Amino acid sequence: MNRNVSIDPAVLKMLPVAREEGIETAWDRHDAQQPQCGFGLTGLCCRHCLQGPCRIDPFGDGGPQTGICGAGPDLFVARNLLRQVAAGAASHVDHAYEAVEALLLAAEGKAPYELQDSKKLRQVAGKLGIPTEDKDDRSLAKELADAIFTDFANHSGETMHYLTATAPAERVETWRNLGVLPRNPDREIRQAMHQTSMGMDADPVNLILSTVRQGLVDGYAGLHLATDVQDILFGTPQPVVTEANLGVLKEDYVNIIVHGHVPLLSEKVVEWARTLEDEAVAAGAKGIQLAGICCTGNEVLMRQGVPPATNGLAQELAVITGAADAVIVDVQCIMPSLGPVTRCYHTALITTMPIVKIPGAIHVDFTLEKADEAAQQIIHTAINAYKKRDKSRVRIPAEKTPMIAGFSVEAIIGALSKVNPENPLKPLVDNIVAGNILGAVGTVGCSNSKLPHDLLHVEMVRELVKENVLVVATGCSALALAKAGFMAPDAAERFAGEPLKAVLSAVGEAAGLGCPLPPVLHMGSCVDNSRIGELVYALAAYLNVPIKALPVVASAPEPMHEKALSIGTWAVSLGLLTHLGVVPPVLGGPQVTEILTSQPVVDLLGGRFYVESDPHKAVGTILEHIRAKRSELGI
Amino acid sequence: MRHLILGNSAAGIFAAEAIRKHDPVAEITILSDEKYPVYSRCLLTYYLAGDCGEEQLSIRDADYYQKMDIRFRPGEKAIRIEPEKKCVYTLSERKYEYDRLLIATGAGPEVPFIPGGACRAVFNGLRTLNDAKSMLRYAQPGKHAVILGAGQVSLKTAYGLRKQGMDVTVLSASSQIFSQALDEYAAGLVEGHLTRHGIRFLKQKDVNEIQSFDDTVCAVKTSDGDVLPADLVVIGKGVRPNVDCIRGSGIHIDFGVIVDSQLRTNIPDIFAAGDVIETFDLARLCQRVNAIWPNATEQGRIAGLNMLGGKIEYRGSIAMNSTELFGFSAISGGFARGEEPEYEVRRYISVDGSYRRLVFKDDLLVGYILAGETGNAGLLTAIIREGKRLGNRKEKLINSGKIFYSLFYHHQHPVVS
Amino acid sequence: MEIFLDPTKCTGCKTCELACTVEHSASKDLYAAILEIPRPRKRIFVETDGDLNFAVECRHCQDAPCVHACMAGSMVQDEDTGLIQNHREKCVGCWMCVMACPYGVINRDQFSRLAVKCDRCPENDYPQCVKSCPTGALTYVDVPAQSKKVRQEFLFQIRIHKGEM
Ligand SMILES: Cc1cc2nc3c(=O)[nH]c(=O)nc-3n(C[C@H](O)[C@H](O)[C@H](O)COP(=O)(O)OP(=O)(O)OC[C@H]3O[C@@H](n4cnc5c(N)ncnc54)[C@H](O)[C@@H]3O)c2cc1C
Ligand code: SF4
Repeated sequence: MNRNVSIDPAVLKMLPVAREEGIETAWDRHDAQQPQCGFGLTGLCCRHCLQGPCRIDPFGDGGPQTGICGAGPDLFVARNLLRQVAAGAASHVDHAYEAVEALLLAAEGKAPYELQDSKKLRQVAGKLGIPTEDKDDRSLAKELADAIFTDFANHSGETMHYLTATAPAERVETWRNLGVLPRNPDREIRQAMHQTSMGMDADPVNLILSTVRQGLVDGYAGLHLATDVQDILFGTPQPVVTEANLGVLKEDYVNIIVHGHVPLLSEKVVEWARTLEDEAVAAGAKGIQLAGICCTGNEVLMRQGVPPATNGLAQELAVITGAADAVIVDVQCIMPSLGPVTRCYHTALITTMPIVKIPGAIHVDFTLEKADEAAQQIIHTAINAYKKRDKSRVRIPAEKTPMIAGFSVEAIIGALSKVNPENPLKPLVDNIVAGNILGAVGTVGCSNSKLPHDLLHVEMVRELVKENVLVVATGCSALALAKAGFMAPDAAERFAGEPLKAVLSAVGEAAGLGCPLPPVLHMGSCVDNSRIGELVYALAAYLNVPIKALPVVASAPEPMHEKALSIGTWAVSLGLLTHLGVVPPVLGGPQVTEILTSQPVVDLLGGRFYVESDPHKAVGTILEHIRAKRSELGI
Repeated sequence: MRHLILGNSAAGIFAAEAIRKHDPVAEITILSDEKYPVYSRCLLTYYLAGDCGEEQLSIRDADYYQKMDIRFRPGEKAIRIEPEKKCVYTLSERKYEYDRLLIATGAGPEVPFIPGGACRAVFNGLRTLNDAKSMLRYAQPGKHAVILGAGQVSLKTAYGLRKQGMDVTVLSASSQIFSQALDEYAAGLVEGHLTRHGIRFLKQKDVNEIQSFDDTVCAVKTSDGDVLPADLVVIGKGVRPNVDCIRGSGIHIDFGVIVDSQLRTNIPDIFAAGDVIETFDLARLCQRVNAIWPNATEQGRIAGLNMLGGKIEYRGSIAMNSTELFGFSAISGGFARGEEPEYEVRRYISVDGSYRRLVFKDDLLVGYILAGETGNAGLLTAIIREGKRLGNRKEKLINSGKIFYSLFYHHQHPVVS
Repeated sequence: MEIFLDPTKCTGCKTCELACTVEHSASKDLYAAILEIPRPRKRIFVETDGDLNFAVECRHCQDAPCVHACMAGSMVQDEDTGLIQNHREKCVGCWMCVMACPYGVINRDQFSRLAVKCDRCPENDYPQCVKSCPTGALTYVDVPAQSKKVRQEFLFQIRIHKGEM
């Protein structure tokens, strides 16, 4: 492992510990996988039927140019891509669906959840056309849940309601003209699986259009839906101050780590950890220290101020500190290796979902109705594990960085309204026009073992904020940036270009933050990319231009999950230039690659994919794009 | 020990290298009746075509003879061998003594008598660099070239002249071109490809007369009375071994020089190799001159080793042929036509139009033709040369679309020295 | 050093073919190499007899048939390394070596009219096919350690496996 594996000092401290302990990490396994199969890397392997696997020779060197069924390289790539994007969309939609289920059960009093944000409830019901006056929260929530479920029971050709209620009209029209508007999200995902099975669609272009449709399914039946409902249930985030990185774990506390994506359980864990803290003290600890990994971590960070331990790729290292008493996982991005790694320690790995079980883990069956019981059981298990902790093996690195999170759109507007109460967006737009803010970039997505961990997130953002680009971040990208100090109270001072710094200071002061706004605003988990969407819709509406005209770029610097591809597809379909720092498996299909990355898709949607693994080159292109958009706007 | 080699080409050079590799001090002398350091005559048509320059013809570096400590005597044509005195006389009346002598004088064009053929623009084949150079003087774009004969060298010559922009017509006495190496189908593929590149074929036609005036040809009159305009005529009627200088020496000659299995002639200390000798044909099981480059080099190497006192057996040769013209490849080996009843012929045409012909005698592969996709041909060559009985692998070979290494992996892996 | 193949470990994944092609490309990067013109060519070939898989590449024979067959003087044995190397500036693409190679491991680069074969990755310290092999079927072994006897035993075992003995 001689390569540059990470820029996170905590990771660099923990990897030798892993070595010493003889524990394999993702980085070791990445090396063991080298070289990775070129057919897979280029998307030229098809396993869609049992005649396969079929592979196409990317060099045309005597090897086959079609699969057994006759599918050519572009078809291979287009089918594979649609399946991946559909899988990403399925993950988000399944997540959102559970949240809606919780909303319904909470409304019916059948599950122990409160409706924390009445205002958001009314706003969401309102956009769906549900009359809100004179209704109590519970009955309105029930109505809302029913209305949402109607989309999932939509047996007509009508477009899904949540989309038309949420997306800007200009976009809806564009998508309608392309014929890519989704009807029932479940049906679209099912259809994508069907469309890509053996002997189905042979037209790469048609498959790409279906891929765009999956992007919309992801955006509106996944991201927006999940965020909206979670905000209603748990409250819309407001700025919180905490710390990030493995150093947040505490030697003399019961350390409980929540990992995964859905806050339904983790919110309960946070609640019960606070309630049952005495039991931890009784067990000899000073208390309970909660920490998060990945997006479930982001959810409780945004709303409860729970400090993030680390981001996705480093998840195993949290266990290797020897101080993690329990790791509670729900869904997505959970490395199967957590099973064997936790077994090397006293750590209780607790799985909670019927579709995520890990051999060797303790499974606590989490149901919405019995959420409290499950959470209590989990806290007890953690405290018991703490008692078995081998103190001599505790190696918590000191690294932790102060950070501010919790920037929902509501929070941002809230801060801006302290500057201009009548027209909160005005100061933002004025500063964009004045060039104090050059533009905005949303950095999102995962960490990927193919790249030096956190490097692209950090290096790109370092250059962007220096060039006065305001960055908003979610997911593991946000966590990488938090660890690197970009969300710290002194971040504006340290990293932002002068004009941007001035704006951030002014807003921070006006909002009473006691420090400048950080140049990178943590907007939440991966589903909270919807919040970035909302912000962009609002800006476009304010300026009365389509989204594609804005000096705004999306970037997934280190994409790993299929979800990143579906989010990216949604971003492109919004009209944004969308950067990926890892090459997706499409290059084997020249036509597909061309369509996704150049003029054809720009003509149709306004956005395009842009792949570049060199952070400096990527920033160059992004800045160029932002400047071009500015000059098109005449600013 | 003094080694004298007559011939500065494939056989002679590979013999000299084998000697030098094992005996750093031996005296090695090479005579050549040409004035050039060693070059590949096989590349002459590429040179003609402009595919390669003169420097690319040479197969060894400029300082080769010096580095190898070889006494190279260009322009020395051997005319007489006196085995009793162990010496060779040359046209320049020099005398070269030897302890071991290698005859590697190769072959020269067969020269049929054609009325009117004694004109400068009429070439008796293309054999030497000098031939190629003078031919280029007549190869003007738009002018007419007529090639009499449709064997490999003729076709390659036609290619070269066509690439010079000439209007090229090939006359073939038989109904099929390239009949020495290919069957009708494969020949048809080659002919079709060449036709598409602008070469004209007239088959079942021979030449009656060449009409010429001084240095310029006017026309070629065919056997059925057609008159073809011509500015350049190449007669390609095959080759015969260069044995003139051997006559009278007592060395046995039939069509070519007769050698034993260690490439020795009947006279002690005189060896022979290359196009000049007859060898045992491993596919046809008879004596034959298989005048091709790989055979000449292999024989040269073995002869060289035996001149040092080795007892290396030369098992025999097979006919082989690889031709690539305007991007179309055809390779054949062994007794590729094998049309007699004792042979079993299996033909296969693949979807890309490539052609394969396999000729078996029982479960022995004795010949093959590949046209179009010719990859892996060497596997077939090796099977023929080794004379391995195929047993049940014969059917596998016939039925698989590709020629698989794995069918024949029983080849001995090379011994690392 | 010699490259050895254990066919019982070869899964036929062709990773070596791609690694070889990339190593012999201008960019030495898969994503860029697939777009290169002229297209880079492989020098190792994965085949199967339906039972065992084989990755085969040049054996660098002593008295190599391709060297004998080469009528352009481009295919020669390197004096220092003993490897058989084709010198591209001399090669004319006559495919005489293809006709002669008993292992069928010389590829025809029709675009550049060049015979291409294993050159043991002179620009790299290690043959990339071996480096890439995910199962360890290909190995790069010091020959003195691998005595001739071991080698023959190895071949013998394969033949037994194939029911040929
Ligand atoms: C145009 C052309 C294309 C060919 N293409 C191919 C091909 O594609 N594939 C293939 O396998 N073969 C091909 N051949 C045949 C191949 O060139 C010969 O098989 C090969 O050159 C034989 O080598 P050699 O050493 O036996 O004789 P040669 O190459 O004929 O060399 C004979 C040597 O002896 C010298 N010599 C002759 N007489 C005397 C004398 N009296 N005194 C002193 N020196 C003398 C000559 O100067 C010459 O150096 C081609 C031949 C020609 C002419
Ligand atoms: S669907 Fe076609 S390309 Fe895919 S595995 Fe089956 S035959 Fe091969």
